[in-house]
Amino acid sequence: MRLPRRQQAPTRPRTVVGMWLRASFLRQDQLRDQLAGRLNGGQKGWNRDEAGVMQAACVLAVNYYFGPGYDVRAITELASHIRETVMAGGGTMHGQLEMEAVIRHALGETDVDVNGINARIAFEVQGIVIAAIAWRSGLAESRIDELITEAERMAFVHGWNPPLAV
Amino acid sequence: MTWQPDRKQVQEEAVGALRNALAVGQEFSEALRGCWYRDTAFATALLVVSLGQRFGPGSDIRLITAFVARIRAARGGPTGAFPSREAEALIRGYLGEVAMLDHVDPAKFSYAELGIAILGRLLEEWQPSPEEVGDLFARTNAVRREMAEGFPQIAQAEDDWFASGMPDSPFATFSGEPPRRTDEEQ
Repeated sequence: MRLPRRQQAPTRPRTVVGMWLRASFLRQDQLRDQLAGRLNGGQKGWNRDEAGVMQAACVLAVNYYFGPGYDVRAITELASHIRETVMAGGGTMHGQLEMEAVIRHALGETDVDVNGINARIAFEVQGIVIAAIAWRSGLAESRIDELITEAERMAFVHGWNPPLAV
Repeated sequence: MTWQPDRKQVQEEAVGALRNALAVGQEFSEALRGCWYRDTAFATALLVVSLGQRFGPGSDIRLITAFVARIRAARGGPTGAFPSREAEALIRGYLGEVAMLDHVDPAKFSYAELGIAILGRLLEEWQPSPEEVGDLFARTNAVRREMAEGFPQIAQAEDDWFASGMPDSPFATFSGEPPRRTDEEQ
C-alpha cells in the first residue's frame, strides 16, 4: 500500500507535533528534545490536537505497513519485536495485548477492545509503532514527510487544531 | 480428620452432569461451572477440542475477536468489565500460539472464569446434537489422556487444585445470584 500523495500539499511538517515526530523518526535527537519542550504549549505532556496528528499518522503508517489483507499474527510479531527491542535496551514497554489493540484499532477493527487503554498509553504506543514501521520499512526522509504532512492534513480536516511550529 | 469425597467420583459426576445437560439441550451453565472447578483438566481439554473444531488452525484472528466481542456483549455489565484482550489471547494460546499465554497473568486473571465464559459461549452458539456431544466428549477424553501423558505436571496441578479446596469453592456452584437454601437449612 502506498502513502497518499496530494497535489499542492505542504511538503514538510508544519506543526510542533509533526516536526517532533519527524525529528524522532529521523533520529535527530537534539531537535527532537528541543521540540518536545514545545509540545502542549510548553506544558507537560501533549494536548488533544497533537494527539489527533499522532492518531492520523498511526492510521496511515499501519495501513501502509500491513495493507488490506493483513494477518493479525503479523501485528503480534511487530508488537513482540518492538517490546523485545525496547526491553533489551533496558527500557520499559506497554503490554503486548495493549499494543496489538492500539494497532488493530488504527486499522479500523471495531471489535477490538481498547477499554482501559488511556490517552497516554495510546499516544506512546502509536509513536513507537510509527517509528518502528518507518525504520523497518526504511522509509526515506521524503516518505516520512509525506506521512506526517498527510497526518497533519487529516487532523485539521477532522477539526483538530495542532499548534503550528512557526 | 475431615471427610474427603472420592475425587474420581466427584470428577465423573461433574463431567457426567455437563454431558447430560448438553445432550438433552438443557441450560448447562451451572453444570459447566461445576465441571470446570471439579475436573479442570477435562474442562480445559474440552475447551481445546471445541476451539479447534470452531476455529481450526491458521484461522483469521478477527473471527476470534468478533467471537470475544459477542461474549462481552452478552455479558453486559460496565464497560471494560470483561477482559476481552486476555480472553482472545487465551483462545489463541490454546489454538497453538502458546506465547500468547505469557500475556495472561494467572495472578490477575482467572483462567477458570475466562475458560467458563469462552466455552459457555462456544457451546451456546453451537447447540450440539446428542451425537455431537458424544463425539465431543470422546475426543476430549482422548486429548485429556494425551495431555496427562505429555505434561506430567498436570497431575500435580490437579492435586494442588483439590488440596486447596477449589472443587468446593463457592465459585464452583453458582454465579450471579445467591444460592437457594435447601429445606434442611430452613
